[in-house]
Amino acid sequence: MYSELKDKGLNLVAINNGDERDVINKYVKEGGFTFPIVMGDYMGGDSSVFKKYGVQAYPTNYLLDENGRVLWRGVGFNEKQMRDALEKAGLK
Amino acid sequence: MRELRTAAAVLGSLTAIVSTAAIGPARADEKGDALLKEVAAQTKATEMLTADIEMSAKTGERTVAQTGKLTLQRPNLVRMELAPAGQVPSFYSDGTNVWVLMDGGKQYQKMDANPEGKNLPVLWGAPIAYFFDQKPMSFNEAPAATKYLGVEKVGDTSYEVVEMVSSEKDAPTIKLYVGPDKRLHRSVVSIKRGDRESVYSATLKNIKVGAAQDVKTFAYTPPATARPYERPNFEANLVKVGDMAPGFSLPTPTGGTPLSLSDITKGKKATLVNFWFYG
Repeated sequence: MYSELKDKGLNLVAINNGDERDVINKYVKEGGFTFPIVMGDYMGGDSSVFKKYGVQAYPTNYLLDENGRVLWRGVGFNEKQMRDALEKAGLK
Repeated sequence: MRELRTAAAVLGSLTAIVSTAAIGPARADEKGDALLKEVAAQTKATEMLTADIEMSAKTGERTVAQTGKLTLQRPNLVRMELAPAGQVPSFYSDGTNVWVLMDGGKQYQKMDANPEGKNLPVLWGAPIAYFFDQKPMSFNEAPAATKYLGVEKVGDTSYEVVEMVSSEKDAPTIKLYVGPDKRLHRSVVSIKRGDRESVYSATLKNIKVGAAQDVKTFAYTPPATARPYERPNFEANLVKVGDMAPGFSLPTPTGGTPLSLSDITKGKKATLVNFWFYG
């Protein structure tokens, strides 16, 4: 689904919780992923990115506009909801 | 939070493992298949079974074990009491409802009982699931082939061991231990991630079989001190639609300069920020 959307102009960043660098790098290599991945500061307590984004379960997704404003967000993987949000954001 | 998400991921995948699908014909092992056919027949012919049960979970250096008593009866009646409280809940089915005791007995969840005993929270307890549903094991719907491994002695008991082999990459291995009575006594699920291995086992001992007991013996009421379980609202703390997403600056797995949210969103019509982990 990601490569389909990338062609339509979707930008993606994946924030990882707690996996080691080599596990992530292996996963990326095997998947052939090209989107940026960052390592979330899961030890960061209340100031961690997970806390700031209110993440309680995985996966959690946020769709942001070019200014970083939240267009849509959800927990779990709901392809229909995500596609609807993308359409609304102008990414058909 | 790290503990929670690991448990949640494991429970999710293990529940899927114990679900059922057809065995793939490709690399079937005759001896393994024949044995499992015998086990299925013997199991189907069993009306009621009681046993001592041990469920253990070994993740890295740490092993957590829960032991207790189990009673299973057709079509969907169960008493499963485990101590201490842990990952695997105690649960009861009176035929109409399944009661699941959580959080050390402080909370309970009540669900409609599947008429064929197919919605029990057995987690990796394959011997329990198998009592009610003898369709061969699978891995998340992909077909699995059997591989007869031979005889293995665990403590005082000799078991015939059959491994379920999946064609899926990174699939867990499942070993099924068949007792001399041709029943499924034990299962061991092993999940490897990098150089970490997690092993989940479920073992029945002192199995006794018999005629069906009065259904009334499966009646259950949760303790007066237990509250009904409220599923946490995982969306409760999320940043609201219309608000600005919090900034961040985080390292990448390949090292080099950290990436900030503005680096990522700048000039892009829309950005999907996906929070994830592998395991």
